[in-house]
Amino acid sequence: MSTATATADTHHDHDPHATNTGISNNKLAMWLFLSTECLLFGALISTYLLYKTRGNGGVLPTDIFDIPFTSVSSFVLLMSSLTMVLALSAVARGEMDRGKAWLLVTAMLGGVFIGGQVYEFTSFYREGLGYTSNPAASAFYTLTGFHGVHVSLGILMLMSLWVSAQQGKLTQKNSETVEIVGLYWHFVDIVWIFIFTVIYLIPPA
Amino acid sequence: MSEATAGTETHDDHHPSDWDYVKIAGILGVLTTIEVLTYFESVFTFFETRWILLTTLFVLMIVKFWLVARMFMHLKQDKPILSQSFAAGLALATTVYIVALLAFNFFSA
Repeated sequence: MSTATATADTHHDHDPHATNTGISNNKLAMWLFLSTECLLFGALISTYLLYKTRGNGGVLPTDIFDIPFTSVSSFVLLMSSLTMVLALSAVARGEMDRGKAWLLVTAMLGGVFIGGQVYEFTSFYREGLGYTSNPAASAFYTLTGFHGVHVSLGILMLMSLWVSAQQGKLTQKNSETVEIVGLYWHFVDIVWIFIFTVIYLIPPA
Repeated sequence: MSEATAGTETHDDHHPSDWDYVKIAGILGVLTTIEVLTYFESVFTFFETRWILLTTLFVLMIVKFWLVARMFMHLKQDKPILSQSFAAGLALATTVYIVALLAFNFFSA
């Protein structure tokens, strides 16, 4: 047996999951997925920016934004990133009870954000801004709706982690699963940081 | 130390403590509060000047984005290839859509 083969065998025995990059394939795949998500949200944000003044004589989203309310929603989502990272930190230390509690709190904060979005959409609809009212409304609902779907999927992932932990399937050994879900959750948060500034806070010229 | 074992080590092995994360969240909260205060022009009248407002909001947004990505997503500790792959997607998206907005005369409107 050559030296190179012997070395490779030794590595295989030592860590069967070792990769050339030193990063697990799952984690690298999540980062690449998030990288492509930048293009998706970039397209939706650009579309809104191009259509935001096209109200066809009707009401525009910018006319009826409730900034104080959306600010509270944004703060809730921001704090859910803190609870997510605390969940990962606890699971990585093997403190499963604490990790489960933080996962649950993160999912609940996500639920509060989605509840806020449902309330916002309902109040906008009552003020005459339907999905097909005008191009600005369509672009606004598509952008924020897509983001809401991402948050909802994140909540489902968090709840499945919590159930796995309850069943004893999620342990300190596979804490990377929590890290990968956490990456997705934090990404959804940073997308909202962008949306909140560019769509809500920057007033029309 | 074998090469494979070395490969699994992180870029910077110092992981923040829970208290560090709470402090970062506090900073993010303060930055968000400043962002929201810009909406109330009566509080800080200088935000009525559009370029001051836009500069402030973009700087705050980038700092918040950077803090979450670097600290909460652990890009500071992880292998540089992860930062590079994410930065590549972000740079591609930014370039593509700025060009698209330029093509539609968005910035001259």
